[in-house]
Amino acid sequence: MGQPILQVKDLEVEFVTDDGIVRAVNDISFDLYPGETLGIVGESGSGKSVTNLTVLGLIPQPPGRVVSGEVLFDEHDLLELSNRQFQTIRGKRIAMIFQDPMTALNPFLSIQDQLIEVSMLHLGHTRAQAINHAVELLELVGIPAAASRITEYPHQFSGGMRQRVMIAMALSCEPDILIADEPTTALDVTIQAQILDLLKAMQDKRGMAIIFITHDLGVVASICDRVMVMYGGRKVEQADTKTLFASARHPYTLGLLDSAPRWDQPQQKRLQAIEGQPPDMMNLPAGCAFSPRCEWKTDECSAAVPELVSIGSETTDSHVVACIHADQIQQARSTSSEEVPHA
Amino acid sequence: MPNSENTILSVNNLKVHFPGKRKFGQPQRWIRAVDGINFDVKEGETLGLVGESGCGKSTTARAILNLIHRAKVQGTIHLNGTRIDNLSDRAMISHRLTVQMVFQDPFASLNPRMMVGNIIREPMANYKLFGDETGRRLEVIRLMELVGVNPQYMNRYPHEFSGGQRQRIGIARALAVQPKLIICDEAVSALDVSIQAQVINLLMDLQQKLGVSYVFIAHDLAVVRHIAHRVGVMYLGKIVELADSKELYDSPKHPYTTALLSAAPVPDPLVDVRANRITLTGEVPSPDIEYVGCSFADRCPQVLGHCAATMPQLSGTGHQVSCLLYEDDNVDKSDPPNSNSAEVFV
Repeated sequence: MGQPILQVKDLEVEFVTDDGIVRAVNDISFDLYPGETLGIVGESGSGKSVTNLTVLGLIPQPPGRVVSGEVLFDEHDLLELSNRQFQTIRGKRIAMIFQDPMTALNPFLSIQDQLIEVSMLHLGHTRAQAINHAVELLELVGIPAAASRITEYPHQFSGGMRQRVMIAMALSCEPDILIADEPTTALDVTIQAQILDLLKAMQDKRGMAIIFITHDLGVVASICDRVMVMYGGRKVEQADTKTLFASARHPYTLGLLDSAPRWDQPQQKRLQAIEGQPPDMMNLPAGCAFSPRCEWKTDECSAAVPELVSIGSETTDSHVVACIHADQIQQARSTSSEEVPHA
Repeated sequence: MPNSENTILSVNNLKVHFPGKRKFGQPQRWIRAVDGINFDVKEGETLGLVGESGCGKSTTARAILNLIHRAKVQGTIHLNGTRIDNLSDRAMISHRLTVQMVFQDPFASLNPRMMVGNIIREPMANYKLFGDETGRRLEVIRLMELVGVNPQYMNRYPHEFSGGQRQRIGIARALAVQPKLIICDEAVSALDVSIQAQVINLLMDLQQKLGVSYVFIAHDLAVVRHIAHRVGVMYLGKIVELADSKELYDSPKHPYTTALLSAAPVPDPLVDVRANRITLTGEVPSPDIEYVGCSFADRCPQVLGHCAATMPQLSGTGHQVSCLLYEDDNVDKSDPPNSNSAEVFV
């Protein structure tokens, strides 16, 4: 895979609120390689979005505060950059697609005005060049009659179309990294399928790396190369997609995989729900944040935060998991799957 | 499984047309949100309704509850044998003991200024159920235990609960008047996967215990397969296919159902969804068009010559489908895929 294009090291982000300190991101490290899609999964409040907003320098400070860590991109630590320096990277080399296409576009500006801003600023286009460029982009993302529709306003576009406009805007400067924060969550399945195909096609064409934030395991399975699972602001497991789905070791990952119903298989008797509630980020449990909901919990779990341990055989960082019972879980899973033949 | 053949809800040829924006000199346009649908729900049964945004799922739900105002509503709705679609708001009150609703957004559907105990107690008090205040208080405790929220928290406010717990409180409120039918409009879509599974299990347990029926509206095909006995697929205000859950998912007939299922992701990287995906071109058209023929014809990958001119009817017993491909006498002889197969049992 060569050199990573983005390295996040020991990132810690917290928010100071009236009620106390929210430790949103704790000790997150990951690498992103050119041309790959890294999925980040986790529940609401698990720190997925905050991690990526930090990478883009979009955390409002205060109330947010980056306590420690490095975000290395192109031999620079992005966290050290001034806002002015950041603007030469944000939107140009690292771009983002936001979750909600209904609110991420400015309703007062035409699609054209919003699209040309990016290329006029970063690529030094004249207005005429920028408009041509924008029309090309809209055609690329599959908006029919792009040349005439470009002067319309966001409210004249449907949700799927608006999300395409967001993608066109993000792709405008051919970024090296695209961060997609739940880009299809608000969309219908048929439109979602179109958007995922589009992202995949763009990636094949331009070799950009994608960070794909989602809570939909179906989407992860269909688009991501590697997956990082977050819980309570920490990374609890990471592996390539096939390994994660086939032999996950962390009880939370297993719980997530078991609790999602599948439409392509006969109805199960009962869903294996993870009991309990997501943790209160202001008041995380001692030790492993998942322990209060975990069926494998022992006293040691509350003693210390479990270290991320590599369990992959070939390369060192292929499969890491933060659970002190990972070996037992693997044994239990392999014996139970031998007893019950796969349907 | 339905305990008996008692029909609790019967919807016949329901149409809900909202007035569109009137332009000067042009005739009134009507948004045909629901355009002639038929279904019934038996006691203890769950009927799932799936479809994309704008297909009329939620309008159907609101019509069942008689909550549609300023629109043309045609057709009939019978609840527990009584016609309710023509009742006034006042006359409808007594029927709300039979049908209740669980809403999509657990953050917006509970009054932030009421303690959750009072939120659950209010419907009982309105209908003077369970004797006096003491009786109602005991019932609130029983319901909170039933849905898995600690009754000690009855004096807390909604903002002190997480999304999943709020949805449980919304379910307890719906159960407060012991209804026979609960309409769940995207009741689990706002929840995280692990919490969603808890609430789905709760709804299914409650059905086992209380024999309540559900109309379960969702866009998540996997969730609907899990919870529903029968499933209706809606497109542009019509039910295009209606069948037993297993039947519908394992052998879908309508080209729209097939396309919808092929686009739904599967949480398994070994299943190559992309390989057999049927990609629909374009988007769902505006619902203010009155179609002569099939409204799906212009996007349909299996379209026949006469589809745009002939209106298909939802037909068949058991597995019902509204598509000319499955109507014996109308099949175009030159292009007969699956002809004469209105009654295929796989």
